[in-house]
Amino acid sequence: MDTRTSQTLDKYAQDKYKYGFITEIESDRPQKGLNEETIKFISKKKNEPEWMLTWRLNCYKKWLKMSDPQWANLKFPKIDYQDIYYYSAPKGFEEKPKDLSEVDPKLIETYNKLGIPLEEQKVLAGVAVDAVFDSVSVATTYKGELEKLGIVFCSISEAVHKHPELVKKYLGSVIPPGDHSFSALNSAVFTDGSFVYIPENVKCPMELSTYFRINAEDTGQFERTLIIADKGSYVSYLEGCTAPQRDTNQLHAANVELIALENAEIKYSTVQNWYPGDEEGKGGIYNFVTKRGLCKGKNSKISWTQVETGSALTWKYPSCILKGDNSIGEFYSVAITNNFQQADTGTKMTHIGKNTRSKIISKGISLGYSQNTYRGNVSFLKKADKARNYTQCDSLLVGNKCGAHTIPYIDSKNNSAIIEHEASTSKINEDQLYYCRQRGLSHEEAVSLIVNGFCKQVLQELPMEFAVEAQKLVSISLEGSVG
Amino acid sequence: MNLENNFIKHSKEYIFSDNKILSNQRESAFKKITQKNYDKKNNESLKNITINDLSKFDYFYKPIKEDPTVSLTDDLNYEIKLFNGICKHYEDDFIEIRNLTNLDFKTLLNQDNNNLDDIIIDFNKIFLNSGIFFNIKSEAKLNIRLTHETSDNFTIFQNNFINFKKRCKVKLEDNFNLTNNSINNINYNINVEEDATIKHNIFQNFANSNKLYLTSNTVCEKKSSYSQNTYNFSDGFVRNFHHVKLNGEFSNASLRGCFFLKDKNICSNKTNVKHNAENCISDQTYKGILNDHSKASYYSNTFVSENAQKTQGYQLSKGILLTDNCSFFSKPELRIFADDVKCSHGSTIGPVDESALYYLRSRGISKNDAMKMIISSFIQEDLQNLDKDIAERVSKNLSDYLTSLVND
Repeated sequence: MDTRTSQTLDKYAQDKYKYGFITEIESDRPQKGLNEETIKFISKKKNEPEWMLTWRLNCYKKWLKMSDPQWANLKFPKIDYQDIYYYSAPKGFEEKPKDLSEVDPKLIETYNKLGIPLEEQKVLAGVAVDAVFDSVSVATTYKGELEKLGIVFCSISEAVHKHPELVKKYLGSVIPPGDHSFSALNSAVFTDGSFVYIPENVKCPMELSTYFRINAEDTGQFERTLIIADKGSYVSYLEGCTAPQRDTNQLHAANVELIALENAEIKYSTVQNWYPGDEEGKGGIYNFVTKRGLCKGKNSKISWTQVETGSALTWKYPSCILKGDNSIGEFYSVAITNNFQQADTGTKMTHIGKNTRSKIISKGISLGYSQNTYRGNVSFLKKADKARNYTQCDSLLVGNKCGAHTIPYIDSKNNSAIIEHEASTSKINEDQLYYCRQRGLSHEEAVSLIVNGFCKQVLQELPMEFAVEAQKLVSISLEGSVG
Repeated sequence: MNLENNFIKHSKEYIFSDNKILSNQRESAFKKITQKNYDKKNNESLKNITINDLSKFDYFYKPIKEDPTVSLTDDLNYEIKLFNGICKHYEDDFIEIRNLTNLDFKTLLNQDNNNLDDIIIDFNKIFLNSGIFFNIKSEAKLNIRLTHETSDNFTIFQNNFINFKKRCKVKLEDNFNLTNNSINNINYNINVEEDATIKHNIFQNFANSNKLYLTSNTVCEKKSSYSQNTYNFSDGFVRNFHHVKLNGEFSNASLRGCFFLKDKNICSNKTNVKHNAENCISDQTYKGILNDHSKASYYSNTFVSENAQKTQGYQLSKGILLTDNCSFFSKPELRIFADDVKCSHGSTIGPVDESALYYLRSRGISKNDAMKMIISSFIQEDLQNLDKDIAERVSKNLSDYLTSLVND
């Protein structure tokens, strides 16, 4: 598309409708609150088949009987589930900012620091771009390529229609809806999310990301992702992005299920930078995520990498169930909390098969008044012969108003299995700081450099383009609290 | 007999049954335990304990004729025998020991364990039937050997207060001489005053039918030092829960333990150190060897409060599993609110090192001997810092354990 066309398009896109009549847009929101009607409404809006609705209603019934999990080291007011909208259709152009000048300048500043291209900035800020711009057209070409390989990459609502057999077989198979109240809630009211299926012996040639999926915006607060890697396949999936996202929904309860069959490998990377609330701890997103992967087949591998910097509350434990013999689970995490943020995050590795291996590297950094908790569970069941786990979790404290907590649960029922766990907590090394300052770095730069080094082990696990942005993100997250 | 019957039938037999405030406390503790929606499943204090074991027992306690004794082998060595939780009243220039009486209710009210959410402590409160007051006077330098003797079928619910006065230097040794079928729920409240140095060794070696729930709450004041070593060789059930608060600057605490389990032995351990002052050091180390169908758990917790800068806190838990049927659970926790700290924990669970075994066997040592050597070396490093007589006792028990292990 040449520049002139895009300029013209921009111009028209920015113009208000001149001719003065307003089309009444049908309100696409159900009433506030959660009841069977809401679920029926969502299901109807998505034109879902009967079995899906029944499934949702069953989950809802389970949810009614459950209370919220209490184990996390988080303090927040009780969630009023009847005060939430459970469905919102994508916003019309009228409600969106017309161009970047209408977007919060603070947000733009951060985008620039992260080095995000202008066009992507528009998408991220939710600017109404009607014209097909580069990255979207790139997405369509990618889509064609994926189709050729037989890879299915679509929204979960589309998958319900097009691949009901796969959805029926795997949805809720890793995270049973009755697992805990957030999983039941999500199962009942999930609105959208991604569905990925990689056929046998296919290596997905690119990093799949919600970025490239058309209509990815407003996947909403109850996201549901299902990734199935068939025998011998490989996929790397990116979720979220480094850019701060302003979302009006306070409660997020996503469910992510991964299934790796024989010899398959799934790599799942997340960068989460949602609104953490202001400096006084007001507002911010409550992020209750359930992520679980099942290494179903022999020699399968699931690897989680996460960089958590946003959200007022993070409650997230990406886990692996290592069922297949020789399967591998990995977890790499960086969690940074600042101001009044609270994070309770970690992983759960359940070793069931023989020769299963898992590795956990977790880095927590707390600043300001924040609380950062690592909570991990490693268990070896009776048949997990020669299983192996290595866990390392390090915490860094900056300032004496914050807290860093490490709470591992280690359970072994097999005598040939070996578990090693080590953790340390300390502040930033004065010598290192002194060394950096001596070489002319400002205090803030020095801290950022040291913290980046502290996180390196995890950041290097991220796919290339993410890794660069994530490093910058780490520095940005430290801003304002150091010195 | 169920809990309610025990509670009602024997309510006049407990001490302080005529005190209103304490009776109310008992009532409320009883209500708390018996209420239906009380979350027993996730309560750490009940790990590896079946609630039926606790709630269905035959309460039995009566004074018996045998006299407790206090004897001096020489100027420094005290031998104190407690019979069913009762001691002989004794006082000299260095120590004072007496039984808990109805007049001590204020001390009981002030004890600081309400926030532990420990059901065993609740039981101790409800059925409390004995307790001793033990004062070690300032500047005293002593060795004390304390033996708890419990007769058949007795249920002991004991709450003890030990006060180590300033600058005293004491080696305290706890022995449990339990006969048959007894339940011993013993709670220690230990106060270590300024500059006092305490070494507390606890030996647990008794028969299968007995149960011991040992809890201690220790408070350390300025520049004091408290080090505890627990050795559990018993066949019966043991619960070791030990809490320390470091309230004075430059104080240090070390809680160490070893347990050796076989058959269907069960043991539940917890250590908890709370740093409330600057420049304190703590160390929590538990090691265990599990054989046959045994089961063990270990919770450790280091809590560093906001003002406890320059803290050093270490935790280590090591478990060796000898068979496929035993299991070990560990949860080493760090909760840190101050930034200038050095805290770490390490935890390992695994089998005997194959390559070490191979090395020894390739040098012509039989498998049994090789196993013995590896296992004793696992504990050996802890014995080095012990006094000779204690180290010898541990080695003796250890070799007994190893013999039983190899003969299987």
